Amino acid sequence: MTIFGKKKTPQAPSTAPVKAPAPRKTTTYFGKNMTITGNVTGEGDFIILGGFEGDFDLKGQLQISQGANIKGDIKADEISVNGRIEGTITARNKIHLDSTARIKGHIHTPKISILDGAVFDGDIQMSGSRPAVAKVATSASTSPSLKDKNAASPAAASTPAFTTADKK
Amino acid sequence: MEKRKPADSTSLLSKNVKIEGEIRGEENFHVEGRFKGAIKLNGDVFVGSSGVVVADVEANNVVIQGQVRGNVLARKQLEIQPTGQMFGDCTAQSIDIREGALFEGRSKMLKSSAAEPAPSTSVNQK
Repeated sequence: MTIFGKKKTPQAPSTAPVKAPAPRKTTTYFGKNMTITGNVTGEGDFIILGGFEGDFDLKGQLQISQGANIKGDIKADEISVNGRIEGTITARNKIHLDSTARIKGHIHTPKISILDGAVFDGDIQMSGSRPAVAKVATSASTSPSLKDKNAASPAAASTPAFTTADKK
Repeated sequence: MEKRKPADSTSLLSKNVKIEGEIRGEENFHVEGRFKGAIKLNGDVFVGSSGVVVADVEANNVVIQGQVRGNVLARKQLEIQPTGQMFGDCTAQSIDIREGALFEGRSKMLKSSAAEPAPSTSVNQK
């Protein structure tokens, strides 16, 4: 037989099987055999594979994996859903519903993407586009109403081009 | 190599996260953040050096590097490492408290036979 010149790779230091403090990044992870009941608050990324019931408010990304079962108010910067959620979901930046997502309830988000196969029973409010602004825009084309001048002052800041055209 | 035992996965509560409530399950749990409430696991609990647990803890092995306030039931072993602080009563089959650790409370030992399912339970039923 040929001689294997390779040394055994020194990859197994004897101290290895001690609990390795998992990822260095601050990603909280709850496996599928864990159930949480209560409130979660904080910063960082969060991955849930198991059950959760309660209020959730996180500055960071939340990933709800397939098999997860969530009930309650969920708030996070970015939410990616593969599991089941029942309740109110608020994403400050965006939400993504993957093909295995099942959602029952309200969604508040400025951006959403939904993949084919996702199930969503409920309603969405895209907080970025306030319904008031849309109304003003439509009424402007038909009749620049009187109440615009009184009521639309907060909206005026956001749409200066329109208000100047209206007033002058 | 990860799939040796299905119950071998470890959940992590990271540093800047706080949970108030109850956690149950069959998994190991590593706490670096704050937890308040109750923990009941068929698995091990590891309270890391930044972890603060104010809860009654029930688990197989419990290792404390951070702070625990509450009663701890370790079905096997309770270990308080040099940086660990524990305020509360503990019940365990064996206890390992390292030098420098802080422990205030009562301690009660479980008998090793009590933890294991006794094999001689052949009660004649008829």
